[in-house]
Amino acid sequence: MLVLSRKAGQSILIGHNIEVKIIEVQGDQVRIGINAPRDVNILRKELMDEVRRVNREAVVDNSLVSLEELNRVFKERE
Amino acid sequence: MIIESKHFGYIEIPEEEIIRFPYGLYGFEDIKEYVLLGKVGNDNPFMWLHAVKRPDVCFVVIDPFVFRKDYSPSINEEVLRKLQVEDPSDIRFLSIVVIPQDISKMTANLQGPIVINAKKNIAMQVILDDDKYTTRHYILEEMKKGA
Repeated sequence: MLVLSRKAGQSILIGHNIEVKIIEVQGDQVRIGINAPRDVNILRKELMDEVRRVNREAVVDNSLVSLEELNRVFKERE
Repeated sequence: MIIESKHFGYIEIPEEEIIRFPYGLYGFEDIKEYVLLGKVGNDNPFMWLHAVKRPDVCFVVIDPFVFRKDYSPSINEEVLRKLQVEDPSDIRFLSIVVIPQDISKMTANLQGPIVINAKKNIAMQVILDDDKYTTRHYILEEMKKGA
């Protein structure tokens, strides 16, 4: 991994059209501004990891379940 | 076309029902084709989303509006472009369901909905940057709250 030191107000460029700017540093928190084309998907990594985890969990347990059973439980609460 | 399923054996499905996921699902990026099973001729809000070429990959999905009538995911232009949406009324949403041993505690992922262009059968999973939604909403509890 490339590691760079930057100060508040300084930027780095990724390719020609992505700018990552350090806005503010306070204790262990850094505020970052990003300028990027609209088709570049920007996500907090922990959120993507969480969605991956939930998806994997969703696949494992399904062999034990029937849609009819789910519907029955669901309709009881309706 | 015949698809092979670990749970259902061999199932014949019309080719035009295949839904393409050009980016896969998170954690399953290499699987690009799924079909929806169990949706015909009943009022069951749950369906299977089954991988076409992977007998072992199958999810339970639900129409999120069935238990959260106020669900309002905001989808940006980029997603519409990627899904080749021409008419917004072609868009459908599905949430992936996690079913624990106690199935009354099943949860749906409202923060990472599957967005489908129903006209062209192209879909992708979108992660919403929205505090209102999480990856685990208790379906039965929220159903009760909304009723």
